[in-house]
Parts: sequence; structure tokens; C-alpha cells
Amino acid sequence: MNGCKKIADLGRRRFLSGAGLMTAGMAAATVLPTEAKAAPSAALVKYPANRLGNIKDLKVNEPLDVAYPDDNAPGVLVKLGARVPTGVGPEGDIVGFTTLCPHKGFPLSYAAADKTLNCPGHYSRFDCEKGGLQVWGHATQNLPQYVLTVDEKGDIYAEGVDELLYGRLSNVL
Amino acid sequence: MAYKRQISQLPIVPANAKEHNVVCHYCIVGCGYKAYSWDTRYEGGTAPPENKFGVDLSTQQEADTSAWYAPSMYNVVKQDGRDVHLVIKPDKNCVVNSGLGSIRGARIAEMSYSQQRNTQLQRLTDPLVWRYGQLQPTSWDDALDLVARVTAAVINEQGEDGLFVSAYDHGGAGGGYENTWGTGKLYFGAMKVKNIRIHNRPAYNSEVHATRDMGIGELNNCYEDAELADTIMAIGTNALETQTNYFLNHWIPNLRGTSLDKKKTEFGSEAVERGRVVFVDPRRTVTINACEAEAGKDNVLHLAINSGTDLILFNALLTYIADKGWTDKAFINASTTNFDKARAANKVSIEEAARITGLKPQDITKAAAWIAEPKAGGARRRTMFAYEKGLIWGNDNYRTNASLVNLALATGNVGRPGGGCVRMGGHQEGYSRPSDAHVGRPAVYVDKLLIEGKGGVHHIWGCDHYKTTLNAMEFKRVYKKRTDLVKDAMNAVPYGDRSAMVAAIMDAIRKGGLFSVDVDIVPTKISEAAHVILPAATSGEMNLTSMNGERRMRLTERYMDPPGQAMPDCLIAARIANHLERTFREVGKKDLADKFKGFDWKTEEDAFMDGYHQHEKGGEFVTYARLRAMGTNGFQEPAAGLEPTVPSPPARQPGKRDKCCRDPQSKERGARSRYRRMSRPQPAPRRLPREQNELSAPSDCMPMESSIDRTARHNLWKRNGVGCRLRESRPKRISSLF
Repeated sequence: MNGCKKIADLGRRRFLSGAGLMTAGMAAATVLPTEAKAAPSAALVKYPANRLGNIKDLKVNEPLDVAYPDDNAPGVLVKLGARVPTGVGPEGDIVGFTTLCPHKGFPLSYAAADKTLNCPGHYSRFDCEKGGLQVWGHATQNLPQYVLTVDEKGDIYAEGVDELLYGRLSNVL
Repeated sequence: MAYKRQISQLPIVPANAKEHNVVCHYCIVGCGYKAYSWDTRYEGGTAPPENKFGVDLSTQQEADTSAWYAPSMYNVVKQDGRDVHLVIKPDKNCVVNSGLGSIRGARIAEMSYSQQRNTQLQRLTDPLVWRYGQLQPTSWDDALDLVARVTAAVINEQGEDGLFVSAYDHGGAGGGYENTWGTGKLYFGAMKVKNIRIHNRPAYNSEVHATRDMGIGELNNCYEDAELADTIMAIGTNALETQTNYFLNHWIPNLRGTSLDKKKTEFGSEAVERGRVVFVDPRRTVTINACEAEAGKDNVLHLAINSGTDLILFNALLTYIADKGWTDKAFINASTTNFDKARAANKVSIEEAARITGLKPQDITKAAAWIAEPKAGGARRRTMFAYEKGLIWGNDNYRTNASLVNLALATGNVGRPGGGCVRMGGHQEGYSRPSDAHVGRPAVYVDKLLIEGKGGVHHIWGCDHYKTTLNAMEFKRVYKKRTDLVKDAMNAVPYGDRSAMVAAIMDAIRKGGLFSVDVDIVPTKISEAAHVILPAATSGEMNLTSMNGERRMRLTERYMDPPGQAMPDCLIAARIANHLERTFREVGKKDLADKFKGFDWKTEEDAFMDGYHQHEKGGEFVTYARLRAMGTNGFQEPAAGLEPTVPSPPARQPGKRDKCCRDPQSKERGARSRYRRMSRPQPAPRRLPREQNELSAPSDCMPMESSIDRTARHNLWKRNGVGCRLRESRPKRISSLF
């Protein structure tokens, strides 16, 4: 029921616009007609809620290497030192991003001077304070950001990603 | 905050998806892409046999993988009336981009018309006519009948000079060989329209007359030359942003030093090093930044000149290089005239140039050394000169352009590996039209004539004067007034009474009115004034051929339907011709009617075979079937013939540009053959007598003239079956690159 609610909330237009939704319910390609029981499938991927660290692990403006939603998906947590709209934690300044460049998948490195993630491959740059906005570059999407929560112990959990990760056609493999 | 699509998965391209060749239609580089399409009801699987890439998609793919696509590379579109999934992603096997996608090309799918996913819904779907005070959808026959009757009536009263035309002349989207031929055959073949302009300028002229007048076509090298050059001299070009994948895939390897092996293979014992680059640009650009990051600051020289002082800089460089004896005397003797005169007339001291350009004298001499100082062992330094808007759209661009070409000729850098004196370009090219000689030179300033009240009917093809003319507000004011006169006249007549309608329109035209017909893919600013709007198809909705900045010709195959009733421009032009023929015949003007014969094309391929295939140099060898087989690599124009396939061709490096391709048609006949890319180097051109030029003041530029193409004409000039196309010095063809 939860899933249905989410879809209804999206509204018809956005539902139709969501590429991933178009065929997510379809089973793998079956060209020849065969009689089989219809197999239900979720319209959205199911993200794990993974603990990525504790706020005690974070120092201002120093990225902490993490991985989400699995070990083959590198990313960082950054405590920016100033509240940002997507930030979590007591100061609202903790954000998390993939570090695979959405252009060609090269590993991004953090530039503390302007709080950006930078690509050595083709010079793309993403602003950690602006939700991963591509400042300049070749990617056709902004940088996938983690949906984070912090519990009372200060543990930081990732519960989702807001864009498709480079190198996988489903964020959850 | 950053926009996020909230997409966490995409449909997988199944193994049985259709595959079409696509060349990005946005910029001149023409990166290769592949379009994959399949029925909407299913997708592929993660197991290797279940997807098009044959890889395990249940695992994270590596950087640079060809088995991944971004959400921007996906859409749902119509194909032969059925909804299909569409993925358009960069082609790793294309030598232009080697799998790189830019922010333009990587959005081709997302920028396609989709009713399912609500993209590009502003596209025109039906012909629109001014009817009862507003633009209303109608049939092609109705719209074209009105266009033909009004056009014929204006020609009847004012002659063909009463018909004003604005038409693109380039390749890529809103252009290409099929469509330039369609409009060209209509206006330069069936008619001899003189009052015609190009998409981005108010006349029918070249942006780089000077280089053509000097005998140097502006696309005279290969992208690979940027990998081979000792020095790249970049003038007024910001290639990382505007020719992204050309820069990333061909300049960067040279600046990183990773093309050294290629240089050694090409040049044998000649001394080679990692490339250096000289920028002439008042601004510090991201391109300069990237070059410094790759080559080190010691190998990048930024000449941040005072704006508009390029000419004196180039003349100073020429003077200094000649004084040092660094010119290529054999080349000058064999292929140019008037070197000594040009040198004397253009003499500028380093100090004077420094004062005017704002540069340090030592930076100018350093640039000269990087351009022309002989290398270790005495070998000539190979320098590629690349220029774009910063030069061609500056004031006094004719002489500035000429002064740069002088520098390239004096240093022997035209038509040789690692050289070239080239535009970086805007659009791809795709010009195929009957002669425009009747337009004359200087070409008519069309927009000024429209402001002055000239002309009775205006046909607009993919142009928007409201955005791209000089004196734009006055143009818009007058244009609106003139077209409103006609609209008001049309409002007074029942739409169904065609002869009364045409009579009312003509009456308004006699009072200074203008009837405006706009052909485009979307509503534009100037279409606000139009009386008829005709919906066109774009790249991928039709088969379309173009050539890129190294004259690489490819076919973008039709992978989806055009929106609604939209048609390829070449067929719209043909249908206008059909209706004009009928209209003239109805009024008993048989001679006029007969001029519009030969437009019975049913498909864009018909237009291609009528135009490029029959009229362009080497066109007789080029067919859709052959282009399809040659994929996204195509061939470099002009086609020199078909070669028998060598039974076991020598091993080639990947991406080597003289890679050959089988000709499927010959294969069908049992005779295996392939394209020959280019002819062998031509013999050294002989000198030709030329008119004496008056000497000009030192601050001017006196151009040398190259005689290369006088003898080689459209032939080619290079080794390895690859060469440059050099056009006639008197431009037969006006083609733009914007």
C-alpha cells in the first residue's frame, strides 16, 4: 500500500515521465508468447537503509569515504560546516554523494576550497552545497545525492539516491 | 537547488533491439551515437545474452563503459506508428568521439518529441494557416495551395525578386544535404531567387570569404591532425565548451603526450614531443585551463590580446618568422604567389604589435618560435591553426582572416599532417545546391530591403530574423506592420473563398504588406508574424546526411516518426514546387510551370539521389546503402571512388582513419569493394599568374594567394589516403558553419 501511495503522490504526469517506471513491472524479455503466470514486480527499487557512519566520524570539510547502496558504489559523506537545504544532522550540514562522475564514471575528488567534487577525466565539477549541482561539465544529470537520516545515537543512514548512478541501469543491483 | 529526476532505474536494451546510426545534429563535430529501439511492452535482462551489450548488467560497470546510459539518453517515442523505447548513446567505435558524449549529444533522446514523456511538446505537428483571426491547423494541401497561389501571384506582379527567402545552408539538424538541395533546387534551380539570406546573417555570403579567396577551403585538415601537431594555435575558440569531444578526444591526447606513438609512426625519425598550444583570446577560458592542467603551464601560451587586435598580431608574427628565416620556402614557391609583396606590405615590428595588442614583446616572439622555429634536426615545425567566432565575427574579419591564412601558408601548414588552417565551426555542413552565381557579390542585404518595404512574399526555412538580424527592433517593428496589413486583409474575407482570399492578400501586398511563410520544427519569434506555418521533421525523424568539421560524411538514419503531419524540408520544398507548377499551369503559364518539374520525390532519399548523388563531387559513389554500411565513421569527403577490397588489409591501429568499409552493393553483385577514403597527394601545384594587388598600409593585410586548389581543385592533398578538400578560390558554394 505504501508503494501505491507514493505513486499517487507523484501525480499522473510525473508517473508517466518516470522512465524507470515504464517497464519496471515487466519481466525480462520474452519475445515468443508463452503461457506463464504474471509476475508482479515493484515499480521502484527497494533501497537498503545502511549505516554509513556516525557524526563523530566527520570533521568539517573533510570527506569520509563510504559506499552506498552497496560496496561497489563509492561515495562520500561531507560535513560542510554550514547548513544547506539537503543537509542532515544537528547542524543540518551533512550531505552524501556518489563519487562516480555521471559523465563517464571517473572517480571524483573533493576540493575543500569551494566544497565541490571534481572529475579528473573531463573536468566536470559538482557543488556539494547545492545538492550536487553540476557547476560545469559534461554530465547530463546533477550528481546523485544520498537521502540521509541521523538517529539519536548520531548514526548516519542512507535510505535512497535521487538520480541514476553511473555504471548501473538500476541503482540497486 | 539541483534538479533531480528521481530516476533509479532504466529499461534495459534487449538483445534484439533495433540499432540505427546516429550522428549528433547539434554541433560541427558530429559525434557518433547509436539509437536502440524496441517495443514498449518489454525490456532486456541483466544476463549477458539478454541485453544488447552482451555483458552482466547485475554488476557495477567500469568507467567509460559502453553498457550504461543516462536518463537523458532514454525516451519513449513513435516508430512506424507504434510506441517504442528509445536509447541513444555515444558510439565507442566512432573515431570522432570514441564513446564520449557531450551535454548536447547525450540529450538527443530526451530532446525528442514524446507524447508519453511530455518532451518537446512545443513541436509543430500540423500546417497552420491564418484563418478567422488566428493560426489554425489545416491540411498540407490547403496550406500549400495558399502558399503557391500567393507566391505565384507575387512573382506574376513583381517577378522572382518579389520572393524573399531566408534559408539555412548548413548540415545537422535543420539542414543537411537533402534539405539544402530541396530548397536549393526550388530557389536556384526552378527559380533564380536573388533576395535570399542565410540562417545567421542578413545576406547570402560567406563568413570566411578571405580564406576562400586565397584558395584555402576552411575545413582543410583532419581531427587527427590535432593529435599530430607540434603546436596548436587556437584563435578565438573555446573548444572544450563548443567542440567538446573534438577537444577531449583529439587535442588532449597531444597535450598529455599520449599521441607520441602516433607521431612517431607518422613522422619516422622527425623529432617529436608532446604538443604545445598558443591561445589568442582576450579571455581566459576553461579550454586554456584544461590545457594547462594537461600539458603544464610551460606548454601553454595565452596571448590575451586587446579585443580586435588579431590582425596586427598575425602580421607581426609573419614579419618576425620571415625575418628569422623560419618560413617554408619550398612550399611558398610551389603553392603561393605574392609572398614578398605580402611580407613587405604587412610588415609590423614586434614592438608596435606589443603596443597595440597589449602583449609583452617576448610573448609574441615566443609564439613565433612555437609556431615556426625549426625543430631539432632542422625539421619544419608542424602547426595547426584553429579559429572560430572570436576571429570571424570580429570587425575587419576579412583581412584578419587573410592575415592568419598568410601565416599558415608562409609556414607550410596547409594540407600537411599535423597542420591545417581551419575553422572550428558551428553546425555540421551539408550544402548541395545549384549555382548561386546570380546572387552576385556583394550579396544583397536582404533584411534592409525588407525594412525598406521590398518584396511581396517571404519564405523562411529554419531562420529567425527577430533574433538574428542587425537593427532587430526596427526589423521587427516593420515586419510586424507589413504582415499585419496582410492579416487584417485576410480577416475580411471568408477563408473558403480562395480567389477572394488571394485577391485580398495581393491588395494588401500592393499597399506595402508582406505574406510570410515559416517552415520550422517549433514556433519561433518570427513565426508570430507568419500567415502560414509548415511543420518540418528533424534529424532522426528523417534520414539525413551531413559532413563534420573534418569533412566526414555520415547518414543519420530515421529512428522515429516526425510529430503529427511534419515532413522533411526537402519534401516540403518539393510539394511547394508541385503546387507552384499546378498553379502556373492553371493560369496558362506553361513555360513557368515547366520549370517546376523534377520535384516528384517521395522520400528524402529521392532528394539525396537527385541532389548530392548527381551533383556533388564524388557523389556518384555515395548512396544511402553504402553510408549505412559505413556506420558512424562514414568517409571523409569527397569520395574518390570505390576500391576493390584488399583480401587481407594490413593491420591498422584502432581508430585509424583510413579504415575501409565494404560496399554492400558491390558485395551483392559479387564484386567485393570498399570505399577509398581519399586520393594520394597531388603533385605540387604549379604557380598561376594572378592579378597584381595594390600594396596596402602596414596595418592592413595583404593576402597571399595559394594556387593549391587551382590545380588540385576539389582533389585532395595528403598522404595515407587522407587529405584535404580545397575549394575553388572563388566560392562556388556559400556554406556556413554556425
